[in-house]
Amino acid sequence: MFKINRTIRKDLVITILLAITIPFLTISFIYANSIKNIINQDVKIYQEAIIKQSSSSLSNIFSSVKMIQRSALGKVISDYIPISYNSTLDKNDILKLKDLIEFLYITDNASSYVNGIYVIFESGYTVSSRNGIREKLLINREWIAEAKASRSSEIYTEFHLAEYNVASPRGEYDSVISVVQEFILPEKNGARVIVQIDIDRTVFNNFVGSIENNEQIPMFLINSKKGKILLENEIYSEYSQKIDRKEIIVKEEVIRDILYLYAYIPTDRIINRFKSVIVGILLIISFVVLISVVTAILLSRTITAPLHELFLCMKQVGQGDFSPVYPHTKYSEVDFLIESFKTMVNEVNNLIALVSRQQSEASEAKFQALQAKINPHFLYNTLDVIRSIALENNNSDISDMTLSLSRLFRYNVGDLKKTNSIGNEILYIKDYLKIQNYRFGDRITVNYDLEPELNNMMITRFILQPIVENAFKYGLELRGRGGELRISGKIEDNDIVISVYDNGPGIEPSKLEFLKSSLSAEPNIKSITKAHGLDNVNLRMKLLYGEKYGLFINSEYGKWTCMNIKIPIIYGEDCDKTSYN
Amino acid sequence: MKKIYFPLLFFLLLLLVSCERKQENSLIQQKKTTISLAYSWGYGFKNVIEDFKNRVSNDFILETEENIGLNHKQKILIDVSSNIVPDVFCFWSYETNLKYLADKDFLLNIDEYFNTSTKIKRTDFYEESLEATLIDGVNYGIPHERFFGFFAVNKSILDEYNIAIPKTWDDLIDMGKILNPKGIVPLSMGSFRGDPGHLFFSALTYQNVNGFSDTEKMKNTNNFIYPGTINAAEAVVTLINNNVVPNNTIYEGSYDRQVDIYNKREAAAIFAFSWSLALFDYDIAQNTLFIPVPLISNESVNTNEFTIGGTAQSICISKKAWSDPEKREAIITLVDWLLSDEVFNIRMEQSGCYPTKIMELPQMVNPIFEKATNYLNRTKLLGIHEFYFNSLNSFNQYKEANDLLWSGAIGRDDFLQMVQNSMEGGD
Repeated sequence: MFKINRTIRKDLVITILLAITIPFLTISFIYANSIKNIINQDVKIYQEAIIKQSSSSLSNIFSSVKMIQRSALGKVISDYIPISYNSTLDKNDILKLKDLIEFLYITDNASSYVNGIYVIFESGYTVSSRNGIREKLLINREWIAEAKASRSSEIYTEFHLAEYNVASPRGEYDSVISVVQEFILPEKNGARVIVQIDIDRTVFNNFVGSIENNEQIPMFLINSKKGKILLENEIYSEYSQKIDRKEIIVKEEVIRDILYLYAYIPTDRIINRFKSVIVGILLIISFVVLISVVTAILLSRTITAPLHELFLCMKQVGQGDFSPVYPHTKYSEVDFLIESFKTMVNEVNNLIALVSRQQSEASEAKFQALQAKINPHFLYNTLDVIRSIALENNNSDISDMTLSLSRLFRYNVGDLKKTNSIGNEILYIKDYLKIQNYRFGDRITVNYDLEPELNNMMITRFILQPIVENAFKYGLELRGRGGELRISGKIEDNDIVISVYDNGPGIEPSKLEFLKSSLSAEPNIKSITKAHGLDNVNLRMKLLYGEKYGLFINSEYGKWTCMNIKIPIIYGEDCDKTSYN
Repeated sequence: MKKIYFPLLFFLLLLLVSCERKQENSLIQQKKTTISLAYSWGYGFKNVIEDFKNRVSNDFILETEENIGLNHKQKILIDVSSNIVPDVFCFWSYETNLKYLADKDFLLNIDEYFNTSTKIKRTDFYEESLEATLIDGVNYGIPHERFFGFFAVNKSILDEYNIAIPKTWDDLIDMGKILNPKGIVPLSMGSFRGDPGHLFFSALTYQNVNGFSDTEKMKNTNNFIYPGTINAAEAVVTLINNNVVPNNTIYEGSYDRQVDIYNKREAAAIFAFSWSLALFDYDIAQNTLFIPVPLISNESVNTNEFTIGGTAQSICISKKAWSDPEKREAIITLVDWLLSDEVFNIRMEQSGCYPTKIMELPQMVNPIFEKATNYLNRTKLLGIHEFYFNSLNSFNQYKEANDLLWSGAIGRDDFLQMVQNSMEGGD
């Protein structure tokens, strides 16, 4: 499980962030929802209005054309002449014909929608508003035949090139939609005349190019009678492949029963519009969150910096440095904390110093007490006096014994923590045994088996003697004759092992276990204050040399006891200059 | 904390500056000068104008209006009646056409333009072309198009029907006898609003020894009825009566239609004009032979030595627009461009209008141009009746009368009298 390391600063940053972003996100959500509703309703209404406007524009164009058609027809009727290519016209007819053509010229000029007005008489004779036409190219077009067949119905052609218009440069004929209708003139004996108005493609530029179609709505104009699309805007041309049934279709009448405008309101367009709003809102949210984060970090840093410094200060104290640099702050609450902490640290520091001093004093007292237990110093001078008396009385035994005893006591005056060479320690043991020899006579045999190189290696004083003394006290003294004390020494696994063997009565197994357990226990203050005998020696060795060194006892009950002293090899000059020699 | 204010302030400042700049741009857009140009140079020139508009779009806005042929003339006259004219416009030359506008004080003395322009000088133009816009010693337009008429035959049709090149009026009548049954009209000619019949009528008039001199005097004598016009009208009636021209000259009355039936081999001969040269099909042009106008009976002037011609349209500048200091610079830029070699070359290529500017003519692919240029170089140009009428109204009546004459609606005498009446201020 991931552990979150919470800090006041992090919590503060999160709090500030939440305080800013939650209300803002709520407002944004409400705002976005409102926008969505506006887009769904108002935009749809707006788009429908654009479609109506386009339909109305187209309707106006065709209505204007229709008006022009009517006025041209009126002129034909008022100045009607039964004309053909072979007609011989009198002056009056010529003037009427010229009037008609002038009228067509002027009407064509006056309307920006019109790109040619053509009047086709029953004989095929054609007059136009243009400088010249190729009449055969016109009267043979299919819509002329269609107009004749449709009995006065309006015909709306698809876009075609006005190749019948001579005035246009070759290869650059205008693309036009023709509105064609045949009229019967009852006052002229039922004569028939076809009026064709050409509407230039450019007239529909606004529609096709969607110039006024701000919403870029796909639209097309269809001739419902033929089921053919007459016009389509560029958006529809691109869009027609992608239209699906989800689109909203709007149908507007342009010319009743003939021309209808169809438009698609793509639902995805509305969604996209909403998406663009959402993107805008998301950008604003991101910006606000960014500002919030920066603000939160800066604010929290200002507020929590003293606390953080106090935290670091505490950590420093925790690691034992009681002289930290305390932070400064303008916040009174934090100031109080810092001052309190400062007081607390000072008090703790004082207490630690006191405890340390007391421990040090207690330890020194303990050593002095231990030393006092085995150091009957006052006897030393007395023994020297006894020896002098014995020599005066020629009592060599007493003199020797007193000398040995005197040397023993002199040796005992030395510091317990000082070291001595093993060789000197053995000499000390020999003095001790000499005294014991006066006591036990030939009941005890002493054997030495020490490797010679051990003589110069160092051992702390009062390690070996108490062991030998123990061998007498608990072993050889309890045996009658034939007692053996064997002191051997060797180097084993880069350590010195000195063994003290006696063939005394040995140690009972339960007691032996207790002793082993006691010797192998870890040293502590409690054990120091309470230790005696072997434990004392063992404890000193462990304190001086380390945990792996000390005394190791073994015994066979009723037969023997062997005490092994294990110490490190130390060659040194740190020996007692007042050593035994 | 303070560090964050600077980027924010900088960001807001940028927004403000960009908004301000947009507003400035839109103000600059609103302040642009707008000038207008009206012309009648055909659809082909529309793209050229659009290109120019784009080139100058940073300096000014050019609004254009184009109308074909006489529709343009009608538009300008309607404008004049409404007391407004475009800032720059093309108009027909000579006193007949320009005096009315000059009298109304619409036109700038173009010496003011020449004195201001750094690109165009008066000496860049043929002096005789400049005379076409001279009224009482003041030039009211910069001539732009030289034109001339020419009589041409389709040699392949003549060869096909073993017809000799017609030299006399009788030859034309004989051509009709051979070609009419084949559905071919001997001469492509019509007249609506006087075009192109009235121009051919001048060419016929000048076959008379005094034809041209009598015409030149018209303005002073107010006399239209003289031997040249009498014989010319009679010659037209002869053509009509012998089916040498199309049956319905009203219908055929346009320069485009005229060349169209010639291109379709529905006519064997044509009296055409330099502004129609670009309409000739390449194959037809190769078979076209420029010949002297066949000689009318009883006339003696060598038609190989002259043809009708002069200056067609000129560039006019609105005096009012020129007086507007904001428009003047834009007008100079526009007129400099209209009188540049670039535009003259384009006009030559698109229609066949010969430059009034002294410059090298562009190389043209269609052989009709080379034939026409050779013809122009060897032939003397005589001004048409249009240049010598005493008023625009009498000229219009002359054109109306031509329509009736060529359509056969009136005879010679009615025609002559109709024009004469207009010269005298009658009906």
